[in-house]
Order: sequence, then structure tokens, then C-alpha cells
Amino acid sequence: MTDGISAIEILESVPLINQAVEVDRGNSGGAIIMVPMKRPRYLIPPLSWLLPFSKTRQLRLDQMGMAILDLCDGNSSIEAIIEKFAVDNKLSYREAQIPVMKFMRLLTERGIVVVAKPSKPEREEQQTEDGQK
Amino acid sequence: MKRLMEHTCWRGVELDLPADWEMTFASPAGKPGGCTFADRRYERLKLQWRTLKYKPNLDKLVEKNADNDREGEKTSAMTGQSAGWQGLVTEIGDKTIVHAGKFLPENKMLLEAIIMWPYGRNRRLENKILSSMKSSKNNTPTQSWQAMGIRMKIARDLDLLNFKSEAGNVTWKFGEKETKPGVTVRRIGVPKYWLNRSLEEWLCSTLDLESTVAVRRTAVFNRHPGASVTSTRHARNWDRIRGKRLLDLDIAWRCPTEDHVYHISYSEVSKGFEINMPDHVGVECCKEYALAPSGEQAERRGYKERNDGRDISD
Repeated sequence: MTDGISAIEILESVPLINQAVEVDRGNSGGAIIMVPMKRPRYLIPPLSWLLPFSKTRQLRLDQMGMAILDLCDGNSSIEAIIEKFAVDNKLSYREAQIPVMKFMRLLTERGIVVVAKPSKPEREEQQTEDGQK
Repeated sequence: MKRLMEHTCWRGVELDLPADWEMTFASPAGKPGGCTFADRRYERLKLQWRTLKYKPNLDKLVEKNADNDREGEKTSAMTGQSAGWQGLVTEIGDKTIVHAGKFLPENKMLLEAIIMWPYGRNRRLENKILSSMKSSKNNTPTQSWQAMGIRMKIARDLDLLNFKSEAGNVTWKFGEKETKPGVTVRRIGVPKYWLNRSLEEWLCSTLDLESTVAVRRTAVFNRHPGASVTSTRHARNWDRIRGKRLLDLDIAWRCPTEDHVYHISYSEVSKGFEINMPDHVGVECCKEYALAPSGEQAERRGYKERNDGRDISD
């Protein structure tokens, strides 16, 4: 995920939730996330009779995990998510950065979230706008 | 626009910094004093301090290294700085690195600061930071500590032996020696996610397996309702022969202003069952929360305005 991407670019990236995942929210604020799995090509009968294959992989998220996942609205950058999480929980930026970044890493590894890097001209445009403000 | 500043006290040194510069490294016990601060993107300040037998000749040091340019760099002696500071300024394109030193004769301490200006140098802020750096007063019975969200005072003879700062969970352990019982202060965030029982029950759950709860009660700490648990553990053999036991006092309260739980543990070896928190331990809370906005845009704008010849206040 970090190959060739600077820390600044990661902060500016936008996490997008995988449209194929299903979220089953519980009463406690947590949820079970179901990620569809691709059947491996080698898993054909008679091997598939011996090795059962589940079409989905399940991941149970607690209340805190869901709070972070809910902040991934497709528009907010990782930095904005960290800021929002910090404000919601009265944490400093760095206190919020560590759990959010760790959690984002877990979500991307499990295929729940994809991190989209903003294109360069977009970033430069944004910086020029900020400079003009 | 006035910039939000945050006060830091660490191992006898105090300073004020922009609130978005957060501590990323702090010197442990038994090592030379030092701290590193970073904003959201870059390392901004590296501070080191040590006591010296003699006053160093900073003039000579500056003279020797000034104009010692490497390729793409321009180094010159620092001018117009805060009183007592001497140093060098290295310019690498838009970026500036300031190496500054100051000797404090009252306690023979040398302070060395490296300030990084990735968005252009802000001399007003730099002078504000440098002038705020000082050693804490030595003539008081207690010493102030302020960093990582904790603000407290403790007896001067107790040193910070161990500290841990994880996401929203800061633990400081004070004592004379690692093996001796001492005072532990914890500040834990996001209680709405993990505190699903009373503080009393939570305190009991944090105790060692070998501990036996002697007294548990509710009490008020820092004007907030909290809980207090006194427990006993087996003392060392020599103390047991003398009829002594290890007493632990754990107190906790939830500060609604900060939305954090404070947990203070104090241990002592005693014959009785009575244990009280010593007067020299004082932890402050109720600091209004405000997320320090990133100073990056303000710094970029300030640099541009200064270059355009306009004066800005920081």
C-alpha cells in the first residue's frame, strides 16, 4: 500500500468502501461485514468436495471500528477522517491518527476499503486554491 | 491571527509550542534530556538538553560553522534572535533549518534546539518558541510535568521511570527505583467504547490477580465523581517477616470536559490497612477540548505574505 507513496499522499488519499460488501449492523453499535470471496480456479470437483469454500469472508467490527468505517463516505480524505474521529472522541490529532491508520490498513488488507490516491493536478489545484484563500 | 500555543514541561525543561506540533519522542529516564515535536506532516522541533561543567563557547562554534556551505545550502549565523540564543540558519530552497543553542548559567544547562521550517521561516514564531524555553524552578518541593495530555505535579525526588503513549492511552510511572512501589498516572481516552461498567468495578478489574480488595468506595476527585479501591498484595519476604504488606490505592474519575478517564495508582509497604494519596501528587483535568488546526496553510500564507512585504502577526 505504501510502495512509492509518501506519508503526505496517504493522508490526502480517499478511502472508498467496497460496494460488494454487506454490512449487518447489530444492536451494540458493532457490525458484521461480509466480503465476497473469489473462488480459486483450482477449487473444482473433486477438490471442492473435500475443501469447503465459503463465498463470503466475515469480519466482526466493534462500535469503534464502525465509527471509523462510517466516516468513509467516499469524499473525505484520510486526514479529514482522522480529524473527525479526533473531534468526536476528544483526542489530539496524533492520538487519533494511530488507531485510524492501523484500522485503515486492516480494512484495506481485508478488501473492505480501497484507498484512492488523488491525481496530481487535482492536488496542485487544491493547493493553489488554498493559497488564494 | 493568534496561533494556539501549548505548554510543555518535560524533565525540568519548559517551552511553548504551536498546538499542532505534537510530541513524537521524549527522553526516557537515565538518558540525556530530549524531545521531538512534529506537525501533521513534518518533524518541526528537536530539543536536547544536558548539564555541563563549564560554559561552552557558542560564539566560536557559530563562527566555525557559519559559511560552511554544502551544495544547495546556504548557512549563516543567526541574527535578531531571542536573548541568549546563538546559532546557525541553513537555507535549502524554501526550507530553513535553524540550529540554536543557549547556556543557562543558573543550572549549567545547555539547551540545543533544531527548528525545521518546511513552509518558510517564521521568525516571530521562532523567537516566541525560543524565548519560552527555560529550565523549571528548582526551589519548589514539587515538579511540574505537562505533555501527552497530562498536566500534573509530583514531588521532586520522584522521577518518571517509565512512560507509554499509545492511541488515547498515556501511562506515566513515577518512583525512586523501578522495583520500588511508586505512583502511576494514566489518562485513557474514548471511554464511551470501553467503559461499560462502573468505575469501581473497572478499577477492581485492573488489579493484579494476587491482589485482595480491602476497601472500595465512591469519592469525588477534581470535582468529579469517581471511585477508590484499596487492595493488598504480598510484600517481599523481609517485609512479610516484619508484618508488613503491600498496599495499593487506585483512584479513578471520568472528566466530562475532556471525556477521558484518569487513573492514579499509589503503592506503599505498610503494617496497617490505611493508605492515602500523598499531597505531593496533583493531577489537573478539565482542559477545554479544541483540535489544534493544522498550521500548514497559515504558515504557507504567512510566508507568502512576508515575501510580498506585508507584515502579519502570528
